Amino acid sequence: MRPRILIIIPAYNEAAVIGKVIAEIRRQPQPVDVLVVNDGSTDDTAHVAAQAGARVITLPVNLGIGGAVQTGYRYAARYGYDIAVQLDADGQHDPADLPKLLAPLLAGEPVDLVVGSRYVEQTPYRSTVMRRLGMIVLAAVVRLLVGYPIKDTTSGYRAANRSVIELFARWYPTDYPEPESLVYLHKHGFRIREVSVHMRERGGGRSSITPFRSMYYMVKVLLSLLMNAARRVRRSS
Amino acid sequence: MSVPIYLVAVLFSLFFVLFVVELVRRGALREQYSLLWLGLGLAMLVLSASPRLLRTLADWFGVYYAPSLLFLFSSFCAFALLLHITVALSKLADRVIRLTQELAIAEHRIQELERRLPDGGTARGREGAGAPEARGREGDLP
Repeated sequence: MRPRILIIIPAYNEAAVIGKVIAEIRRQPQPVDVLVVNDGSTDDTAHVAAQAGARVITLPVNLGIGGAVQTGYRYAARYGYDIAVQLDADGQHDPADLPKLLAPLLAGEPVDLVVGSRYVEQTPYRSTVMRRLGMIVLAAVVRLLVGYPIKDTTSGYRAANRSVIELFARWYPTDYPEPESLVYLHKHGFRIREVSVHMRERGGGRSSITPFRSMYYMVKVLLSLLMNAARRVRRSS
Repeated sequence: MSVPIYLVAVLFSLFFVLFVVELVRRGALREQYSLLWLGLGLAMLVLSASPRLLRTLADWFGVYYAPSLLFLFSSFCAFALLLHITVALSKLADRVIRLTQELAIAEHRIQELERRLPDGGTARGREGAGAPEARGREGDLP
């Protein structure tokens, strides 16, 4: 039987580019369902996404990135998807890389989460000094907690298998969730692999992380990471 | 230590306890959270009603100025209550997130099923078209 694949796109006011992103996803050869989780947008995001052929779940209030992504995982868990792929609505993630991300899972290789990493082949990807510093610190802490290097800990372009979907449906971090979810997966014995992807300039919208807030996020994420590592694993049957 | 301030403290504590009881009676405060306030109110009442008890306690702890023990006691209680409230708030936030997600998924499912109906779900569409946030919340809009 062909595996059912769901592409989860969390979107907050991304009407400018989301249509193009969905069209690109639908053009690539792998048949997938596209789910846009509209996180209480005030613009036309839901309408544009539906017009482009995506299923749209509209959250009645803004939950933030973690809550929005988890909605997608809960949907994937409930409706029996085998693989769920997270992809940003702003056009940074190239749908052409989807086969690369899916390949290890489709081939049944011993891996549970495939992360699309931007640091393997350097693309003209601009980033502030503070941001880069933050990424380096995060990568170091995650490496310490996980035991092996993950280059791009903040990548939101990832493919998850069924057991990861079920775990994320039960628990997912709130904001800036990617690094923390990696540590969480590792603690639950899941295997993570990075593949290199091509990151593009944002097609529109603004990054949700402004320089002013990045310090706060840094402290918060580090605290969450350490708390996560210190937490006892509860195996629910 | 003058008597009037103790009298004021007793009256205030008494009023406070009665007010908490009244809130619970009216259903404005959950029993679960009222226990802490009642405990605090009763402790305040007892301590302010008998200055001697307060002085004895102050002697035990080596506090020269007895009322400062009262301050210490009340700030501890305030910290404990605040912590209790933030814990309750965190739990509430988790529940709100979970409910929001379930609601949105269910709403999506309903729309999907309605589209399969013979009339295309227009019966419901007429009374509540549009995104959920635009529906039935006119009162909240600025």
